[in-house]
This record gives sequence, structure tokens and C-alpha cells, in this order.
Amino acid sequence: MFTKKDVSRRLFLKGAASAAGAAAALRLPGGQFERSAFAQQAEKSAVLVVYFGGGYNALFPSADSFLGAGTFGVNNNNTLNLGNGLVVDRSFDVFPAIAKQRMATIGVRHGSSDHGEAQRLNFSSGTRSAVLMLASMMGGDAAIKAANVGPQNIPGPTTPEGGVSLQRITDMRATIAALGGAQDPTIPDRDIAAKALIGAEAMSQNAYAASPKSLTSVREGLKASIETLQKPVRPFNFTEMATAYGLQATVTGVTDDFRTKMLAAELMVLAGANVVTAPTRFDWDSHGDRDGSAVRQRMTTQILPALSTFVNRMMAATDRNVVVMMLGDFSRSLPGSDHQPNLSATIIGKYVNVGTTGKVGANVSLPAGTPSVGGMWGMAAAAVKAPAAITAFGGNPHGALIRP
Amino acid sequence: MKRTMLCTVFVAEFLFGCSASDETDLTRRGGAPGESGTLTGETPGDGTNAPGGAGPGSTPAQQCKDLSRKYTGLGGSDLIASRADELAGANRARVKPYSSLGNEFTRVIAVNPALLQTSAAAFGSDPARWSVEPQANAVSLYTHFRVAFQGCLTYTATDAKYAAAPTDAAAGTECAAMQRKFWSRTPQAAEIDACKRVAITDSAKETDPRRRWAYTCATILTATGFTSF
Repeated sequence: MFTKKDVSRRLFLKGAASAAGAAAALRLPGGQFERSAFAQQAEKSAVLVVYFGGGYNALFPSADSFLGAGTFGVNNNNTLNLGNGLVVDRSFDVFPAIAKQRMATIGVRHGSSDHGEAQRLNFSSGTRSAVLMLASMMGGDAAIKAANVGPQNIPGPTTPEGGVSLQRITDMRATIAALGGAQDPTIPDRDIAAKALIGAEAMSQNAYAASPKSLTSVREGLKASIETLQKPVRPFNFTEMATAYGLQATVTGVTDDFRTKMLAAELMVLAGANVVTAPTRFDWDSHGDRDGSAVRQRMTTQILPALSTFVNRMMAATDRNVVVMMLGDFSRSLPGSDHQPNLSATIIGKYVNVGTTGKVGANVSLPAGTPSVGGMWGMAAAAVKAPAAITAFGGNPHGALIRP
Repeated sequence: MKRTMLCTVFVAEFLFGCSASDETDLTRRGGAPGESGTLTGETPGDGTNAPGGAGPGSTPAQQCKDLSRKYTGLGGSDLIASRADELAGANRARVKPYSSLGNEFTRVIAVNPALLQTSAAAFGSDPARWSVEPQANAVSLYTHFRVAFQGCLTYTATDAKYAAAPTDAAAGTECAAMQRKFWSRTPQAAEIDACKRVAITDSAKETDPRRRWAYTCATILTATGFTSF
């Protein structure tokens, strides 16, 4: 319900943003951008969650588990030993050296071999959204703290946490306009637009009261839009960003082309988002892929080029701590690459130690006692140094994988 | 409008699996007359199958879970566990799909803004031959406002009443008129006041009176009275 308190909160946020200058936004002056100059500020953390719809074959994060029998086509030529017991698929060699020195595998024994249930479990903490819990507890003053890039939604609950909702990003041009406006007389003045949207919000209260659930996206979207417009504007070089991902600057839609998802993810990270989710299509339910060739080919051609670019660029930013998580519904079982009721996720981050708590057995199982989903999110929270979130997820049982 | 409302009722009931009346309950597929109508694996509800969906001792607060049958699937799974539960008549509003907005803007302001045609991605375009329930977000709503503003610039471009800066009286009259026209209902006093605030106060830094009215117009078009149905 819109109240005077909310108005005061928005004004406070606006003032805080202006004082701190911490929020990033974009300008579109005639299609060209200026390179931004990041002010000296505390390290800004963010998490990118790459979710493989259908599954994440353990041959990637736990390749050595299959060397003995050569299952999933694993052999000494397509594995990469990163040390401390972590052996991954050689396709991960495309990551920059610093990323390979900061990579770990996390075991997640969620116990489900059902797509729907596993998907829900992976993104839930009880009935709450793990993504939004983490995004909320990481704090910061960004208007959009949690973003989902691309046409697919992440599974699981999406009820806002601590005022943080999950905002979909499907068009970078429109997002840029929302974050920074453009030099176009038909573009509304940002200050007036923010106040106008506050007015629209006030006019919508009766509808919200009558349809509190079905209009959730409108309520949360308007709120986030208002806060976005109240943030200061800073210029960015979108042309340079797009070029880095092998895209033309005129390509602004976020589609199933993973490059566009990574470009959008970088955009949102630079705009201050705490958590960005990038789900793929349901292409990774790789039944019958007994030699792993299909998923390797898909990973190598569709995912890793753009993902490695993202990792390379983000890890080069010394004022940022960007963590990347790679996971899917579950690992693939043997012999037919079907559903295995556990998952081994990959995590990359500045404060991640090389190692593994997710080495599967030769039959793709994880030992009893392997933590479940809460432990994975606790690890993510630890990697971004969010103590409140670590506590909320029940702690980090993968403590050995965190650097002090 | 009536057909639309009926369709909305039907679709809403289908989505939420709830029925306030036995006649529209899609789950109660009975057998021959006199049979219980129990399907394989189905557990009858709590005996609340009377017409109107309300059985003995029911209260106004009954929800779907109180009225609908239970179904047990393979492995003992509860097939209705994920069914959205709801009070009858609640949560009826839905976000207008992008595909309808061109006609909607034309209907109310006689303009189909050019920006709308290039903004499909911002609203999230559906896959081919597939329908996805529209969901708004920060970017789509701001884009909607931009589209509305562009259209409202045309809407307020020529009429003499928009040539002068908004006054309290003029804003009250025009806000009420626009809201009635754009929302197809009479606005409440608080809604008119919110609109007047945009016209008189929030847009004051704008020196062009017509643009001030365009902001006012766009605000009304971005409220749920227009963005939802």
C-alpha cells in the first residue's frame, strides 16, 4: 500500500544515491557512449547464476569421476586438473587463468530426479526465493537488485524479499533508456517521469488491493522503475561492451543467443544488480547422450565463449567481486544420461578456493551427508561476503572452498 | 466487454482451479447418474459438491482447496499441490498483453505510438505459436510510460485546452475526463488528486504546457486502469 513512509523512503534512496554516487546508469547520446570512470568505492559484489534448463552433466564439474570407465566419453585428453582434487572438463580451459585458480565444485544432494521439483528446490529456501533472499541481504542501493536476463524465467518462488523483486531484462535498449535516458525530445524528463510513475502508482492502489497476487508484477515493476529513474545517470560504452561479446551495438534484444544474455548480465552487474540469473532453454535434458558429446558441443559452442568473456571482464575489474555459478536441474545418470537425484554445481569467484565437495562417484551419486540446496546458497553468500545471507541459508558447509 | 469478462472468468477459474459453482467446476467429471464420479486415484473432496460449491458449514472465506477434489498421481504425488488457491472473485486483474496495446492506445487516444512498434522485446515477446501470461517489470512499465508519453504528445498537440498550463480547476476536469475515458470507469477522488498532483506540481519544471498535459495523460495511461484488464 502506497504510504507517506514509502515516499520518504524513496526520497531517502534518491538522496543516498546522489551522495554516494554508487549507482551506475547508462546514457544513449545519439547512439554513442563515453567510457565510464568508476569512482573509488568499496568492492561491489554480484552473483551471476547460469542455469542449464534440464540438467548439468557432472562430466563438467567432476570429470575425473568417469575416467576409470570412460563414461560420458571422459578420457585423459578431455579433462583439466585444476588442483586440490578438482578435475573439470577441458572445455573449461577457455576461462582465464585467474578463474581457473578460483573455481570449485559444490555438491548438492537435493534428492530429486523430477525436473519440476528439482528446479523448484534449486531456487528455494523453504517457500522463499533463494535468489531474492541473497539479493536482498547483499544490500546496496541499486534500484534493480535482482535481474533475470532473457526470455526464460528461473523456476521456483519469486515472492519479493525485503523489497527486492526479480526484474526481467529482455531488451537492453529499453533497459538503457530506463537506467540513463537518451538525448531525444520525446523521451520524458527523468525527474518528471519518476514523479509521474509515482502518480500512476497512487492511481493503482485500488487495483492492487483487489488483485494483490495477479498484479504483483505491476506493483513490483512500478516500484523498481521509479527507483531506477531516481538514480543518477552515468555514461557507459555500450558499443565497446557489445563488441566484446561479438555483437553489433544495434543488437539489443536479449534472446536465446547466450551472448546477448551475458551482455545483459554485464549491463545489470555494472548497473548495481546483486544477483543476475541467466537461464537457458530446456536444451540440457540430454537423454541418450551417453558419450557426452552433445552437451560438450553445446557447452563449447553456445555457452563458454560468451561466459568466458563475461568472467574475463568481470574478474579484471579490481573494484568488483563477481561470482559465477553454473548449475542445472541435476546431474545426468548412467548409463543413459537420464536423471540423477543430485547435482554438482560450479562456482567461480575471487574468494573461492580451488577444490571440490561435489565429486560424484562413478555412478554419478554423491555420498550421504553431502549438503543440499541450502549449502549451495550458503556457499554463494560466503563467496560474496554476505554474512546475513549465510546465516539465512543455514551457514556455509563448504567452508574449505572459501578464501579468507 | 461482457464477452471479455466472461472469458476472463473462465480462464481465471481454469488457471486457479477454483470454482464457486458446481456448474463450472472442470474437475468434477462425474460418471453415470448416481455414480460418485470418482476417477482413478481420485479422492473425493470434503463432501462440498453442492451447487454453488458451498457445502454444509461453509464460510465466505472458503477457497479452492475446500471445494475441489483431490487427485493422487503416480507414486502418491499430490497432483493439485501446486494449484494456485484463491478466494472466488479475488485477483481478477491481468496485465494487458503487448499484442493488444496498439489497439488499446488507438481506442483511447486515437494514436498508435511509433515507439510501441519497436518495443516488443521490452515487453517480452512470446515464442511463436505459444501464449505466455504477460508479466510486467520495471523496464516494460517504463517503456510503456515512454510509449504513452509519445502518444500523449500527439493527443495534446492541438486542442486549445492544452495550450495553457494546468490549473487546479483545469487539472481536476481534465484528469477526471481522461481517467474516465482511458479506464472505462469513473475515477475516485484520490485517483483524480494523484493525477492533479502530476499536472500541477510534478510537471512544473516543464515549460511547455502541452508537454505537461502529455505527462499527465501518460501517467493515467500507465496506471493499472489502463495497463490491466
